[in-house]
Amino acid sequence: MKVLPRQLFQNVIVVQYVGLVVVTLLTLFGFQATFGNVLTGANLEVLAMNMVFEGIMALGMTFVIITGGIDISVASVFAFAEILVAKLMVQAGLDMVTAIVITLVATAAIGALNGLLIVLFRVHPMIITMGTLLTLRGINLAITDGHSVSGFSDVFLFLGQGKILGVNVPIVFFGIAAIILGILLGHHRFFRQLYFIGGGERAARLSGVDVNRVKIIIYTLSATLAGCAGVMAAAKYGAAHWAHGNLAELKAIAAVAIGGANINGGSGTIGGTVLGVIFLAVVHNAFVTSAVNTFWYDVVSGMMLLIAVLLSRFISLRNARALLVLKQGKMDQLSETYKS
Amino acid sequence: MQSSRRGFVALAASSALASVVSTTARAADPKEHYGMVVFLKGSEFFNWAYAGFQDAAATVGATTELQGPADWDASAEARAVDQLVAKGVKGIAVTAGDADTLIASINAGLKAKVPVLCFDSDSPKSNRLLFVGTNNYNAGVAAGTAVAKLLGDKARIGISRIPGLDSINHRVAGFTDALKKLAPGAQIITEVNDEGDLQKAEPVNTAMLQAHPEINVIFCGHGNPATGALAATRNVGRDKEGPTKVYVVAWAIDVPILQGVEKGDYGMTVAQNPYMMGVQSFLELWSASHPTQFDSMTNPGFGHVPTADLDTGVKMLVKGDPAIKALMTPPKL
Repeated sequence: MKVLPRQLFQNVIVVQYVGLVVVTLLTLFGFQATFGNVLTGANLEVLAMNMVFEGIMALGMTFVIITGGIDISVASVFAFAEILVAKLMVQAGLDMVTAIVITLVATAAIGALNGLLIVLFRVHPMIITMGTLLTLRGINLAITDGHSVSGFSDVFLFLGQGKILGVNVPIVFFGIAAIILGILLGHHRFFRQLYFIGGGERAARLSGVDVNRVKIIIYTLSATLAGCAGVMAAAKYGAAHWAHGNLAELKAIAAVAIGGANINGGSGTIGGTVLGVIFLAVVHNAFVTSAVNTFWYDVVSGMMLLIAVLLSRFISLRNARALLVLKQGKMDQLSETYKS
Repeated sequence: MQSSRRGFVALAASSALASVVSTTARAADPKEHYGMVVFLKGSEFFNWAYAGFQDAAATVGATTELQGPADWDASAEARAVDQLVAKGVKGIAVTAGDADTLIASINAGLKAKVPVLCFDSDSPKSNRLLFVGTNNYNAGVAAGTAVAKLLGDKARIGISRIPGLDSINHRVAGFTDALKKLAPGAQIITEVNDEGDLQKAEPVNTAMLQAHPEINVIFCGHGNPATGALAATRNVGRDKEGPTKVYVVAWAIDVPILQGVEKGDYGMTVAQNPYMMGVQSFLELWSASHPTQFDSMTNPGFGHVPTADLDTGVKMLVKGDPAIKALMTPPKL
């Protein structure tokens, strides 16, 4: 029996998603049964808010990883957005909307610069975005002199602390962004190109895909989402500080990988990333609920990341093998036809 | 078949995780449960504080847990406070990595009727019940007084610090004021940013000593840079006793620092009392979570706690001080 690679890929991905959902639910209900206090409204709200900013960054990271790239600058873009919007409002006296627009334009420009440098100099995205990470971290520290910036209006605080229909604004933003970006990734022609690029950049170029343009737009999107997260985080904490979001880039990457994306590019979905974010949030919450030393959280997250990466490697190898079998079958068929 | 095998593996992994966790928690079997939130979780300093917190809790049969990030991210601390409040602990002691970032979470905790106080690093604009810890200004005065006694007007000082932290600002202010009063000829030459990283402390302090050879004291404004600062004095060949020696004034009670003080490598160290911070934090939280027949005037709905800061004091430890030996066996988590 021959199975088409696409179907095979989809089957394995579905199994991976189901496995992730099952493990997440088992953890959630297992800890509820053992310790209680897990499935309370207050705890679920905290659980969701705990990873929401990393989750927003992970949405942008999904696109970047599908193209075979990586963006480790998001955490410092996040802190930069916090600081910039805070300084524009508190120190420059700008109104909230203008400050947010300027901040998002600035973060988008940082992302565009990342993309531009990557496509112009053909340097690995890790190096370029690491440069941005370090540069921005220095800028964040220098422009604040290590101090936090606070003193926001209540209207601004609503963006981080307010609720819409009983749901925290950042969670609403994350949900809406995930739905819109998920639909676009699944159905829009532009976003479908990401899979071609991730699957094989050269082949994508030869097929007429404007790889450079797509990459610049994707890095711009990633940084803009990190900027949105930063603005809301400033509102959530009521302060902007250079150390906020430390190592958030690693959590965002972990969420994408645990969600089934191939870290080498070519596969991944927004739905998978959302599942990865939820899994990390549930595991972290489980550690707090059970009072186990949260140092072990990193061990579990790291192990899940390794399993996810190994699984996606296994999937790609199996797909490649299935493709070879398929090609061989077609060639055998052709030679049989010629013989007869 | 394959999917059911994967499902089994997932189930087994989850059960294993739950059983590991449940074993630990069963041992704790909470009656009254209190939380401590720190930054730089795992550092000896906060291990001491948590040991005091635990020991004090044990005297009334309560249990405790320690939460917080292993770095300086105060937003992660804020989330930890939120989680403990949602969990329904009886009280929370938090040390603020950034004073402003913790305000919303501390206030939300108090609004949910969970007593919250700050220890070691304060969040003064929040509604926290009180602050338990070193009065940083007074501690800085103690360090400045000791340096003035050691070198008098000849002291030429470089400061290794993280910019912006209120606690360090107060220490430096106290240090400077004491020098002005007791050794007006002494000078603070420059400050460097070690970013709270002991590995970064070495190059920045080396560069400082090379740029300013007149410096004869490195004052460490916090716990991390001391080993880097000492390495810097070795790098420029000014670590040995003599007229060119650079005295490193540490601000830590970590074992390597204490050993260094005993060997004479460090001039002295500012010893805070984190164990007492933990003990006093717990006792105040316990009091706050047990209202008596008369309601608290200052914090209605809570038990009685003082509103003034509780200064746990410091001691300047120099070679031969008997307190060093007592501090050589730090608690482990």
